Amino acid sequence: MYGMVNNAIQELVCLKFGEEAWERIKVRAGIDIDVFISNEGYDDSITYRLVGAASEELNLSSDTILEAFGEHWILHTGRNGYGHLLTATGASLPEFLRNLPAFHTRISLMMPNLKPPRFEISDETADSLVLHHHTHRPGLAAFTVGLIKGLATMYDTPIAITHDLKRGEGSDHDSFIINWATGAA
Amino acid sequence: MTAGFSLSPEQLERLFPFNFVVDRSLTITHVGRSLHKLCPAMEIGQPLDTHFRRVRPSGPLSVDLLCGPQKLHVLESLTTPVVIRGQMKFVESGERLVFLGSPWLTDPAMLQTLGLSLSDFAVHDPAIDLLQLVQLQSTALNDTRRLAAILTRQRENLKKANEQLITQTAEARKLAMIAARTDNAVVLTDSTGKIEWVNDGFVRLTGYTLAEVMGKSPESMLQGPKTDSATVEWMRAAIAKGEPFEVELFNYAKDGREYWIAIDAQPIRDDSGRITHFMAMERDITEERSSRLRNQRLNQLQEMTQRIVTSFDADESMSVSINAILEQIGKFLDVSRAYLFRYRQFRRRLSNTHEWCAPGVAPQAQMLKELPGEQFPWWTEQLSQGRAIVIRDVDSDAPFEVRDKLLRQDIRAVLCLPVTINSELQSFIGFDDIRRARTWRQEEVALLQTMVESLSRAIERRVAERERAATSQHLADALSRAESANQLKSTFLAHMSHELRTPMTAITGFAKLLLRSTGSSEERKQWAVAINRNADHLLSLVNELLDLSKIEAGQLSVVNEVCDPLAIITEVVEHLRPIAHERGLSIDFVSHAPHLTLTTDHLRLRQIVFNLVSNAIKYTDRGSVRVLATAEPPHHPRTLRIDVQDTGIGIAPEQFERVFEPFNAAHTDASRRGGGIGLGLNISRRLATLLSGTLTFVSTEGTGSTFTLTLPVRARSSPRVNPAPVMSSSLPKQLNALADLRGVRILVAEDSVDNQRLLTYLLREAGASVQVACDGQEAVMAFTSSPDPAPFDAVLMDMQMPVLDGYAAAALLRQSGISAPIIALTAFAMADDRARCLEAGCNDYLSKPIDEARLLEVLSNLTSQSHAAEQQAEPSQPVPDSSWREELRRDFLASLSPRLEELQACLERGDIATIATLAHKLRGTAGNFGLDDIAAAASRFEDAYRSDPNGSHQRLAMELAAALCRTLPHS
Repeated sequence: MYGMVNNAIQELVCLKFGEEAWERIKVRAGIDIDVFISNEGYDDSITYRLVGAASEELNLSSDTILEAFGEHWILHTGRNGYGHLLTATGASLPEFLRNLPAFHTRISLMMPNLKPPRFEISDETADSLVLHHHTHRPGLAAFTVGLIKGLATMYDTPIAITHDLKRGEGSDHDSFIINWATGAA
Repeated sequence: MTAGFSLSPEQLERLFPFNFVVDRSLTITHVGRSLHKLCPAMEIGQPLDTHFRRVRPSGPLSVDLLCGPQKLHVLESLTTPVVIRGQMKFVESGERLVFLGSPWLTDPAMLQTLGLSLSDFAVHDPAIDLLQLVQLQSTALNDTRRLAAILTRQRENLKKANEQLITQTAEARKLAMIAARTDNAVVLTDSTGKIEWVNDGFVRLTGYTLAEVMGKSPESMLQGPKTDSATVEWMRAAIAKGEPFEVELFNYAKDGREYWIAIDAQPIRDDSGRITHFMAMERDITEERSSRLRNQRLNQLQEMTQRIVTSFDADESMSVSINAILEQIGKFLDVSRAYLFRYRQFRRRLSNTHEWCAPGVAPQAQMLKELPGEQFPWWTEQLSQGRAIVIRDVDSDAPFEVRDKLLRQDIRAVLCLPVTINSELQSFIGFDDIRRARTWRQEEVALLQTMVESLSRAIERRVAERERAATSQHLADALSRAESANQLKSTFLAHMSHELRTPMTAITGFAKLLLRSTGSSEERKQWAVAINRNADHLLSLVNELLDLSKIEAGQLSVVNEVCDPLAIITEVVEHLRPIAHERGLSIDFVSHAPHLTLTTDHLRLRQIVFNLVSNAIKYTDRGSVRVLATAEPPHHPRTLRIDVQDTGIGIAPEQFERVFEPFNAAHTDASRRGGGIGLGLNISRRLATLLSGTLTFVSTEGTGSTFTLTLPVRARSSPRVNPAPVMSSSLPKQLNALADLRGVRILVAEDSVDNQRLLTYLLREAGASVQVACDGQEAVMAFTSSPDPAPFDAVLMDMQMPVLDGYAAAALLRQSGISAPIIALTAFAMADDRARCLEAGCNDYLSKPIDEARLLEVLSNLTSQSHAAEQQAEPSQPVPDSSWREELRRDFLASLSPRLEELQACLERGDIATIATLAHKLRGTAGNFGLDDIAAAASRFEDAYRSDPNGSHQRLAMELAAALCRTLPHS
């Protein structure tokens, strides 16, 4: 996982619970890294440990933390660092989602050490689509839900998300049925 | 297209959405979809240079330049802040130039500024990727900045930490030095309490070296039997909980020395908060604690002292027992015995009156009573001077006089504190210790002494308060009694005023009528009779009052003589029988005591009986009055009982208690019935007491009363029995015919002409020659001017004379060597008058009115020896005939009327002093003519005036006037 993800977790924790909480989480996670380099890849376990320790320290479930983190990533970290690129990805939520596969293709080119997830779009209608999320990292569905919610907030588009296919439960990936109000596309 | 394919306009748009096409004149013929989005002003037919200028290669826009060798063209929009870059290519046989390129983006934010999205770019266009790279670069730059900031911060922190470390190291060095060298012991243990390090102070305090205590717990080394196990447990619990603690503990040094330490123990934690060590500072507080305990003890003693004194002071009944106080103090001091000795100054006796003994200590108080103080001279002397006796060890410190005595009582130490009141030793409080010698702390002794003094003051104050309260109560009672008596007297005086004014009105009224010389002879006689009757009544009132006042003053004397009481009773009954008959009552006297005689004052007996029978008659309207005399027991009587029974109105039970009270309102009411003043019964009872008898009564209201007089029978019979007295006591005195003063020369010094004349008459009648001097000076002159060294054989000297009174004259005569007898004449009959006269040089003393027989007897006795031989030689002076005496009396009587008028005038203007002069003259003269009423009234007035010259004495003046009225010739 690139450092920017861990930075985003740090940013979220510090913003919501203070720096001391972040230090405690790091201690609890057994991570002695003061600064994560955004464009450098870190072992995924670091991210998982941070999330696990935050869950314990803050007495919140991992899914809650991951979802909050996904939302925060879009609305703060992603937008601050990639805001214009994000917004340029689509003028609306449906457009963004449609461009999402190409976006990750470009990312993967530019960040050779990154093993980005792969997104696919299917079953597009005027007010819905199905987003397929393929990744080798387990347990990040809640993070994806948080990302989608963050995008809906960014585009000011009310949505409904249904976690349809679930990785490990008869499917090799997760899929989410996303419905939005007509006209948002 | 050499590749054998061509692009449709749509394909061109998809592949190069930012294209434009111009003709050779550089007029725009086509604008690509995305470029038009960027530069919406570009329209077909417009010259290119109206929208762009060439940035690179530099130079104006021209076909030649644009169509040059393969170049990258950079064009800057003139209408929009955008730069596009790409290449130009002739198409359609060189008629048109097509631009294939894309906008030059240096910041992802430009996408938003230019209103572009990914859809506006050809998929292959790397511009977006470039932007992504720019973004990554920017992110990396931000990371670098963040890292640099963190590094800077960490460097600063490190710098500070380093500085702190340096400081802490220095501090640690100092602390280490202090810990090592401080006088206090410092112990460092591990978290379980095992010693790791101790300083030199510890070694000095305990005697143990570091090597000896290393790895051992302090308690195993330093604590012992006297160490408080509860405190040790508490310490262990604090260590187990990792809490700091402070405690005081009793420890033992290596050599067994006992000491107290104050421990201040703190846990030492590592960075994770785990306790790794305990550090204890241990301070030797043996002395400090001892001092503190002493102070605490003193404070407790002080508090106890205040409590005792306060509770003693607050306890009105003083019920706080001294034993309880002794117990409190004794227990506090932890002595064997606490006690109080009384010291009787007068008898110099010591007595152990109170004692408290500790359990198991034998009491001593019973054996220490009435000890003679002289056996303990040093002891009593010390205490008497207010000094405490402080003996630490009887064996070595006690004075010899008490050492053995104390040792016999097993006393080892003593403290005695004196209790003095008004600097006199009253008692002392002591404390014994029989177990050990002990040091009595000076502060304790001082405090106890203060308490003892406070207690003695409290006792003093309480006693004074009690005395004051008792005095107040006595005063209040006295005041109450006085008020009550005053009320009774006021009522009585009101009645008296009425009783006195009634006869006085008649007396003065009729007297004035007589003075006018009007009215017939018969009328004048009736007036005189009325005056006489009223004067008699007035006299009886005054006499009654006089009796009472004499009784109250203790001046009434009793003259006991053998008398016949039955005769006295008979006389009284017979005297009052006419009055009883007038009221229609029968009266009789029955005697069951034949031949009984009494030794008593017959006049007072008669007065009592007369009063009782008079009362019986007064208060009886029907029936009878009976007097019964009974000897008890009949054959050998020791008592004479006289009952006066009546069938009268009786006395209501509620009046019983007041029947004998003087000035009683009830009596006053009752006395109106008979015209008395209600003093008779009171006087009678007092007289009965004076006669060693009793007067009692029984009565039933509406039925009658019986008053019973009992008198002791002192003599069964007597050969000489005083007959029943005559009714009148004013019979003319008989002259002593036997007196013979022939040849005796007498100087009469008297200012009253009447007395001059009377004395001259009497003395000449007895044969003496008489010369008169009008005052003391003339009397002295009569001696000194005479050629005869002894011109007179005797001097009759009135003591109250103008110019020079009798006292001064007598003194002068004696100083002049005159030895002739001087007989003082004075109207004052008190004992001190007599003494004063004799002191002035008089040989004898005669009171006025002049008792002729006594006068002649005294003169005869004084002059008989010296002049017996001369009696025949001296020719006697002519003796006046007896009519001369009568003439004197008539003259005197004639002078009474003007004197009465003068008296009345003085009364009207309140001139008491003149009345006093008048009374003095009357006093001295009236008695000489048998006018006792006048003499008595004048005496009473003058006596009263002398005792209170500022009083009005109106009543006595009126009495005198009444006496004069009664004596006025009824012409």
